Amino acid sequence: MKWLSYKLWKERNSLKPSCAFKLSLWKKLDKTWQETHIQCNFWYQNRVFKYSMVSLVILAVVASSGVGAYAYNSPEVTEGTKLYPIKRAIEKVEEKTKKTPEAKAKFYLKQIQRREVEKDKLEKKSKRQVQLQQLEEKINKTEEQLEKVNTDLVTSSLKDQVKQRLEKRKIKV
Amino acid sequence: MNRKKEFGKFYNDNIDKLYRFVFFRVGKDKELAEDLVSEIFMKALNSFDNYDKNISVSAWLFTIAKNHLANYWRDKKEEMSLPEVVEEDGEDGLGLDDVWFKVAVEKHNKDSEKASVYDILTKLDTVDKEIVTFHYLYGYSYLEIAEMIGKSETAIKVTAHRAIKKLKKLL
Repeated sequence: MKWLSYKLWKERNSLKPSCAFKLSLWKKLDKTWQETHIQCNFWYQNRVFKYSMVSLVILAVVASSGVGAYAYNSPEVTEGTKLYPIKRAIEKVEEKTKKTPEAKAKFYLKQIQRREVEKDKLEKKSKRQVQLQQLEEKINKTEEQLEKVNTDLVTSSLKDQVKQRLEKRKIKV
Repeated sequence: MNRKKEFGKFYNDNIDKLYRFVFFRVGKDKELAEDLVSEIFMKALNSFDNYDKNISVSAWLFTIAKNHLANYWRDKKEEMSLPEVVEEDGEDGLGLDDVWFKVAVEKHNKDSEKASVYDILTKLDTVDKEIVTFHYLYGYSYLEIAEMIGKSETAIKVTAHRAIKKLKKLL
């Protein structure tokens, strides 16, 4: 019986496909696999492009946040300067985040102060009459908004601040 | 392991066994066997992503091979004449696979002096011969044969053992 098993085993080993055939078939299959399993068909799906774009976006965000922070905080950024639109845009977003009358009042008070600082800066430069006028208008507008939220205020200290501010306005008028 | 590596392993594990199986099914025609094996692997590659992992890879590939060979013979039926053995044994209920195995054996007998091995196998009945051939000649494990045929591994082992015993008596 061992003789038969041995003969069959020997026969089995002699019936192997040639190495050349196996290799050429594998190459053919490999090529077909690559053609049917392509993942990066387009240039924008390329890994290098993706990484470079992510880096660029991160850089842009970092850079713009620095510029934005400067534009928002600096009193030097006044009406007519290049960064002023950024400052206004940030303020608008900030305004939308204030939901309660208290928060709104605080925000308007802060905004009035900022406009006044800008006004001082412009007055020092004593050139831009039009811009000064525009600033004055903005202050008036914000004061009107402050007057509207005044009735809903509960916090006493904030009420006092708003009251002072509004009295100052009446004197001006 | 990624899919390509899996396919590479699948290829290396099955190429020899599949080649032997096809080689005997095409009457030991080496070139034809190589062409058919290439086509079978190409089919396997195309459906490798959809392959059901619950069934064994050998059984899956064997099904593809069997279907491919059936299609091949169907397409070639009109072009080429079937071997004389078919005409002789067709009425006995022998399947085409069996007929082609017989043709391969006859061809081998003419080609080589090692005919005695195949002569012995032809003495077994179809099922026994199939199991012995698959295990000893093609190189499939008992488990793989069991999955292909849809029987338990133990049943295959028992059948193979009995077939070998039968051969012992015949010798």
